[in-house]
Amino acid sequence: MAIKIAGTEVISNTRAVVNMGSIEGNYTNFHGSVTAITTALDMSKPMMSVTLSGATTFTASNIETGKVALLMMDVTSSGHAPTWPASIHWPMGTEYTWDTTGITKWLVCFTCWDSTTIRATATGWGA
Amino acid sequence: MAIKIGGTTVINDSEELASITDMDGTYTTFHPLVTAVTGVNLDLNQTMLKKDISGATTFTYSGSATGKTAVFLLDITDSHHVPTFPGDFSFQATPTWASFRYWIITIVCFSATNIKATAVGYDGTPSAPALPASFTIPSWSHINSRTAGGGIATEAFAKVSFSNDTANDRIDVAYVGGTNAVAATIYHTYISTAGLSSITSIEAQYNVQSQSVSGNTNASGYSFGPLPTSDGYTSGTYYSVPNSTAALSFGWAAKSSVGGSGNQITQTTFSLNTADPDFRIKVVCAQGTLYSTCEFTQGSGSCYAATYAGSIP
Repeated sequence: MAIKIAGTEVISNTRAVVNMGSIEGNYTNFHGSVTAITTALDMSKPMMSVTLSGATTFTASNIETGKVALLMMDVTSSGHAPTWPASIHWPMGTEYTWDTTGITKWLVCFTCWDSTTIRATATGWGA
Repeated sequence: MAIKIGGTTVINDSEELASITDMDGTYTTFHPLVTAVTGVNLDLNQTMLKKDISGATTFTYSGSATGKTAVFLLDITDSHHVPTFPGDFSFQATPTWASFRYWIITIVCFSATNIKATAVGYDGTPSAPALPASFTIPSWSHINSRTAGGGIATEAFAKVSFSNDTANDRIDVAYVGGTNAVAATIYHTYISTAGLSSITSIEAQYNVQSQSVSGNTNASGYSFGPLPTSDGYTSGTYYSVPNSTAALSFGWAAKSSVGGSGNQITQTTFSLNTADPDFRIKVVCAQGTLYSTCEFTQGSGSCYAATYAGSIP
């Protein structure tokens, strides 16, 4: 049976915490669900993953101040090129070299600065 | 009605989880609230902090405990107001605040008083060029000639060298030209690197349209040259600039001697008239990949050395 506060469900029948105004406390085994995407970066999704099969142009949605999302991106050994929306800014104004030889796996961290600007960092690995 | 466990509210009437000792599971749409820093105190109980500063600002902190992590979104405006963080904060390297306007600072408490921070800068133009965009090598003697009789060995040369003078935060561009008739003066142009941080590489290149040597082309007899290619340096390719006491040298030379076999005339020429800068320095550092270029407006250079066994004809 779901638990409601003043008629609003806060713990569903599937034991999902929903509609929380705030959470205060500690956590241990508590992680973001991974959402597979193709081209749509949803800043409401804390952890996304994509494997590029060709040059890919991304879009971004749900940009709100403070939202942080991660993207696990595999450009494969072919070094497929991602193209990012203009809302995404890179450190020092320089986008990463996504087809760097030997680098296939990228972890991209997006931080929403406001409702229109996302500032991102990326780290690449070989495998 | 609030939900309590053992008399402690765990879900209050505002639909907020409270006093949770542990959480287990996964989450989807779940993001930190952004707390505006109204004064100068960074409350590390808050997950996401944000502030625009309108002047030099010294921050304090509270709420630290081992493992707490906070992200601070800092806008120092186009005036590049300088933030100062508490002494308990340590950065891998002090960020060059003047280089960028927007900063994302990740703060992790290793203990209540040992706080590590990283800062990543975005956008904004540096308030001043971090590396001079160009440099000059005035009065470089790049056309040199010596002719001698009586079997006297002759040499002519022109050389530009680069070294990283770390003690004085500058790149030393040393240039010289002359012959073995008199001692040549070495001139220096210094390029300041004082505005740069975390330099990972300094490289330099030369660019010629053409270069050639005739006569004595045996490079083994030269201290450098007769062409830079003789020393392994190809036009248009970057080579590492070493720290002082060593140098990257691009040199042209001509050297003749009779060696008992008669007259010898050696001619080395090089043309600097290319679309690319005659000399170019590339620095990779925290401020980005920066370039400083030199256009030597005197055009082609040459080194001529002629030795005659008898009298000069």
